[in-house]
Amino acid sequence: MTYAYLFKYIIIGDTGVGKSCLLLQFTDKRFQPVHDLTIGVEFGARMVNIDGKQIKLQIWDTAGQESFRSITRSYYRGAAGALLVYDITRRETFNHLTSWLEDARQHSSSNMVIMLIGNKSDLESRRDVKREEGEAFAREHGLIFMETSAKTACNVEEAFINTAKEIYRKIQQGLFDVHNEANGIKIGPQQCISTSAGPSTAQRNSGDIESNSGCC
Amino acid sequence: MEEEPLAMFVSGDDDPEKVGKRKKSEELRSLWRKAIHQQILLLRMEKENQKLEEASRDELHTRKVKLDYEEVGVCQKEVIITWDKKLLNCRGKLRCDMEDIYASLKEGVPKSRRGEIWQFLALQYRLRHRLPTKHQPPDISYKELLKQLTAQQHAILVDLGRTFPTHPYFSAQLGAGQLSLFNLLKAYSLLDKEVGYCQGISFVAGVLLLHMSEEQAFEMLKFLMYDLGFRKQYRPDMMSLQIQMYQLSRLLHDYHRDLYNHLEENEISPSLYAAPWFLTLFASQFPLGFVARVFDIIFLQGTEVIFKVALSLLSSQETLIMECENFENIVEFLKNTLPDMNTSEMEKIITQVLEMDISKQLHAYEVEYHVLQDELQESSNACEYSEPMEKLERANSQLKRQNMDLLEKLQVAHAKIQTLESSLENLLTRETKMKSLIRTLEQEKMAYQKAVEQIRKLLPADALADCESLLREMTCIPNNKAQTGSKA
Repeated sequence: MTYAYLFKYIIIGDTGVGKSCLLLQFTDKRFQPVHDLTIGVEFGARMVNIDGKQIKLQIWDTAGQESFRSITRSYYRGAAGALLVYDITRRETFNHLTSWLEDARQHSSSNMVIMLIGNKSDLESRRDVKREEGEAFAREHGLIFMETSAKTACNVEEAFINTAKEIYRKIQQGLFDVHNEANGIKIGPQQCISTSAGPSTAQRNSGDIESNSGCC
Repeated sequence: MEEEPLAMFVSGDDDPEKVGKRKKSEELRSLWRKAIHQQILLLRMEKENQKLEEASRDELHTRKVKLDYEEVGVCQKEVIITWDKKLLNCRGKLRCDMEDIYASLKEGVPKSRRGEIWQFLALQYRLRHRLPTKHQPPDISYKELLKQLTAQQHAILVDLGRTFPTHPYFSAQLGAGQLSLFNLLKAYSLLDKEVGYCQGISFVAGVLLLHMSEEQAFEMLKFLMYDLGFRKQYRPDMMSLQIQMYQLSRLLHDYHRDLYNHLEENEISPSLYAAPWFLTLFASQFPLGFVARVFDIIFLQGTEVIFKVALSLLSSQETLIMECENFENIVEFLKNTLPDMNTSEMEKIITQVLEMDISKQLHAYEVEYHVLQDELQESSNACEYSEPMEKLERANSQLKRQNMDLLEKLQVAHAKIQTLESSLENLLTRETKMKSLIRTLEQEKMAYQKAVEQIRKLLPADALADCESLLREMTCIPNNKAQTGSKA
């Protein structure tokens, strides 16, 4: 299948926050509570449509345990988007966000779009981190924010797609150099270069990124 | 059946000859008591028996569940017998001939004896290699450790359900398998404070638990981690794992260049596919029969077995990997297709691994890694600022372009110099030619002047005057220069 662009994503966050489940829900549209431990990195891919353009998302799902940080750092290279995930029922996963963010900023391109995700929103009764806290953290650090549930699929689609929209918007604004693969963007095979970017009229749809609340 | 003994007692003691109603009723009562008591005992015994039977059936069943995997390379009867002999010797802690052990291992390991054989191999290893005291684990018993609480409790609990999630022994949530796994991981995390619990260990512990009791598994985990040195790769900085990735990459570079180039072109480094191979000793992705066989060799040869298996796996599938033409396809192949081998393919890999020797290379590459690391450190120290990669790359390409431009200019200049030099040479030769021409012309001129003088002397004065006026007339017409020349 042809595509206009390929965006590389990386999913990061503490162990057990649901990174692999988010990926599986997004690529296969199913929830699998029992799955193998992620050791190192796993991969997923899906095609999405942004403003009438086919975009392939190549997603790197990483191990969350502290010891793996030194390995994970090598996976950031060339990522256009990052999903930084915490578990709303475990405060310590929220407390670790700053160190994750530091790692992400230090080892990736400065243009990388970061989406903060509070996962497990279906477990409202066990909530340990208020939505407002997530929002505040995102605002403070210039991230996009969403609460999701990999179990019910709530907002999962939106989280991945809104990140793509934001990257696409940055391309159109000329913030991303699509010819430099270090930015995590590749032009699809057989795509004429002239079709890429340029501030065009196709920009609107991506404006609804903040208005996400939806089902969660 | 339950009524029979009671009926027997009652009927047997009901003697009509006995006199005294009181006595009779008393006797009867005691007899009843006796009978009921015995009946209770009997029932209890039966229940106990049933329990014992159930327990032994359970144990058998558990053993069956644990060892329910397809063996790679089924053993012949004679091989089992030779192993049994060795295991008998093991009790006496005698050193066995390594060649002999190696030969038996090559023939195969029966899964029913596998747990014992691993312990035997560990013992043999320990008889030959004494771990320096400072590298030995603290001397705390398993039972003692189980009484303590671990700080890693949550991390371990979360991973119980993610370790062999489809294996019947481990799949039941907080069932016997998960409980044993929890105990084992908890005990290890308390023993090895530096490593604690690191993801990956649970699979190694799980494989051990399938072949032996919890306590034995703990001892063998200690053996793998401390004696064979696997614990290094789980240390918080994972430095050792990074070195191993480099070593694997170098092995590919030196022995499978085409494959290496293909993977490089698609930006696939070993850290993308081989991390679980090293950290779970292949247990997280490969069939248990294969994993068990790999463990057999690990117990004999240690950590380098992982490299051998990795290299053998990759090289055996080289053609298929070369056919995958992009990142996604290659990664998909390495992660999902590669572990899904048939038994004969697995046997081939094991045979290859048993014949491979790469210890020298591994050592050389490790040294090389450290040298490179030092150089990198130095150059980054010189830089002082750790600028983002991107910037440096941009600067680098700019400099490269400049370099090219300058080179071109240099070439043009060189060409110019050459043409100038050759033209200079031409001019010089022309100059010498001219000079000689001038000289001959001057000589000619002198000769003519002499001739004119002589002619003047020979002619009478009036004839000379006539001649002169004649000459004047003649030269007056063609050009003035000749006139003035002749005047002088």
